[in-house]
Amino acid sequence: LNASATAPAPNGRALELRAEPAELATARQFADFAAAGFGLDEDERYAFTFAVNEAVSNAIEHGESSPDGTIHMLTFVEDDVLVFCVEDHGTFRPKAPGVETLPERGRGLAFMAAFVDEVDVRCGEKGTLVRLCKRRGA
Amino acid sequence: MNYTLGDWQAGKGTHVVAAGGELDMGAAPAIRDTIERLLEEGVRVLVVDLSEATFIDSTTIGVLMGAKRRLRAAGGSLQIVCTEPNLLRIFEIVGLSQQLSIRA
Repeated sequence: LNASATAPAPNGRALELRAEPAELATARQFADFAAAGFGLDEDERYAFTFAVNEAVSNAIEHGESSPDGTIHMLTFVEDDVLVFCVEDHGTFRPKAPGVETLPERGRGLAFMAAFVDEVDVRCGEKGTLVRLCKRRGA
Repeated sequence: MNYTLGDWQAGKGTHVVAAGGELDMGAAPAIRDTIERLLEEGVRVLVVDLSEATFIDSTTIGVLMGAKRRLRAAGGSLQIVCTEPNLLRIFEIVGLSQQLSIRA
């Protein structure tokens, strides 16, 4: 009745990760599983997974500075669109200890946008939420 | 660890760096360190072999672009060998196929 914007839909799945690069493979598997369940073909699944990997990489950079050092992923289908949310509880753009911030980074957001239909980034005091949307055959 | 990394001398002044598996944020620092070391050793012609790579992210792509810039400034060159269709498509979509001199 009073579901919030990010509450899991009945068809949703959620997963929590540690904010470490070693968790990226798990994040990609989770994204690929969601994309397959949504019915994307192999090429689209790969593109979707690429975008999610970028979002989670950013969250790892931010999230390592958060008190609990975790990242939350949530995926569901809304109006026939696959939605994938990545949320961290770090502050935007700090240099997280333990994660090497390469000067070569910084293209992630632009890359993400090239692989999904919509990217929405919300930065708050308590962290960053990235919402990726993917339509079928788009 | 989901990636492999190796390098060897392939000719006079030509060096190969082979990076396989999943090249994500966990792999990028090691790839950068390897290239950095070769540059310091005086290598000016570098071939990056991605034939065995199954995934690449923006961080690793950034490392390759940075290396290419540095080699070019030093009068050298960097070429990428890539045969994996998924990777080729990523390079294409982000518009770097030509910039990175990718050879199949």
